Amino acid sequence: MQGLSYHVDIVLCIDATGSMSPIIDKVKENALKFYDDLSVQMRQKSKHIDKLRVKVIAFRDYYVDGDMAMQISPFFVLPDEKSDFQNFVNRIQADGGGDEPENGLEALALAIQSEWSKEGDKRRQIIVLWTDASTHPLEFKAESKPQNYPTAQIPKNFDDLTDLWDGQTMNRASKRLILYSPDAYAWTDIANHWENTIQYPSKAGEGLSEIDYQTILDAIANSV
Amino acid sequence: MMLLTLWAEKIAGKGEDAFPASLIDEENGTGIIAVADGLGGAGSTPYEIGEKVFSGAYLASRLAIQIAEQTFVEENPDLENFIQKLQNNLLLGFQLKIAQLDDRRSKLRTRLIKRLPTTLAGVVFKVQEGATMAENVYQTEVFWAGDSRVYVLKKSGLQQISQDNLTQDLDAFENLLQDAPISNCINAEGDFQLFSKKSIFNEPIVLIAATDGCFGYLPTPLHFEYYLLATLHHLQICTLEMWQQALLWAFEANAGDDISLALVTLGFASFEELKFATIDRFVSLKKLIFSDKTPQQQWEEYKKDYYETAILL
Repeated sequence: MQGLSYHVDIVLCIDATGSMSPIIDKVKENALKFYDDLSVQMRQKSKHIDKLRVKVIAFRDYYVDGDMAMQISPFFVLPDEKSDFQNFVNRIQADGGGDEPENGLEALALAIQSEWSKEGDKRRQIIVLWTDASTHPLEFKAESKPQNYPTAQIPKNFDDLTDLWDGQTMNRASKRLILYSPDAYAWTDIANHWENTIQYPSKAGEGLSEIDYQTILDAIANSV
Repeated sequence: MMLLTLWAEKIAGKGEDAFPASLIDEENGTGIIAVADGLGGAGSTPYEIGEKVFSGAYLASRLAIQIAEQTFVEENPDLENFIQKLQNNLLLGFQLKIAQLDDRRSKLRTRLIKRLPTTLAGVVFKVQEGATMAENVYQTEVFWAGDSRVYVLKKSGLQQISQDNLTQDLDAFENLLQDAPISNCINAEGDFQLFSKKSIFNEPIVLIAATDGCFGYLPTPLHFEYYLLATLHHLQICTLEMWQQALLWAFEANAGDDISLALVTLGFASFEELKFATIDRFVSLKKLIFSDKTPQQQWEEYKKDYYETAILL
């Protein structure tokens, strides 16, 4: 397109709790190739990305994992900072988390509040989340949150999180949320009620067919 | 009546805009023009037909145009119930098509992806002949679902007759910048509404149906009319065919998308008469576009007359 510039920001949220051990390598592989696949898809649609950034949030459980509950990278500008991005992803180890549920909603809240690019004529702001677990309700232990729980940034309940998604934090036309998550609280509610979301109901994307993966990429690339 | 159609694909063989509908019944003074733009994002599901793979968006736009043309042929020349029939035929046609295509549903759960989603915008018209051509009356019924548009070009300028179905309440200039998602489109789930509006015009008009590839990548809404008139009034343009080619080049040079446009002139005896009728408007529009005013200021001035104010039936 003449004259218009495309800026694409991607935040990858990866459940890094112990139960993900059997599939974490596959998820990391999918995370690393997602931006490549999207770039190829956009090139095929004659859409040139002027700036592509990717950020990673590895999440576990604030209630049992202390400082390891949330590992958050800065945005990496690709392809220039590709090796930093790869190193961050490769360092993620599936560990901790205690019993299900996990802090997937907190990871999502932090992802929504990322420092999205304000540059470019057309933007796409994408969050992709992989998990095999349900989520703690945001109200869980409201009076006794762990010390490192980012209370100021996390909505008090699911309705407030929904408002955060619906609000101005992300560009309404640009945002997309892709969930590779089981049919469990709160992922099913999100898939059914939030705008601009796609859920592939499974454990972290297991069994995703090529045709469904292609559909997801197309849905993102075509609507930029 | 003079008829002009434009169609171009950004990627050969993958165009999500269907070739526009353009049927005229000279004997009865009736006709239809319509465009459809398959929604690539929502309609990305691939379907295998024979040895080829088509996206839902590609198939949907073609089907919508086919149904619009068939409905016109069935109803013509009595177009009183055209919209209701078209809505019913779209519902049925899309259900039958998806039943044919889709023997296994995707596991994806989303409101973002629809089966066979497309915009559709067009107009059916009937010329009521007066004692002289100047006394002709033009009855129109515009229909739309999505953000493809129908315009009327009069001596006084261009007006948008259809309304954009968007999730946000944005005017045409705001939406150029914000690109709001569509709130309504034809699809195989059947959860769509075909909006319509009847109007009557007492002067010669040009009716135009266009997909967003024609107007959605321009600096301001003024530029769509500007390209229409600048090509029409170019010194070397003296036939409809030459205008068609010049217009296609102009839109292709700006568009980041497929292009589909159909245009019919009503009440102009010749191409020269159309040029003569619109020359004053072209001069004043050119003056506005090349003035020192900012795009926002230009739009504010242009907007006063942009939204259609014909006599509603």
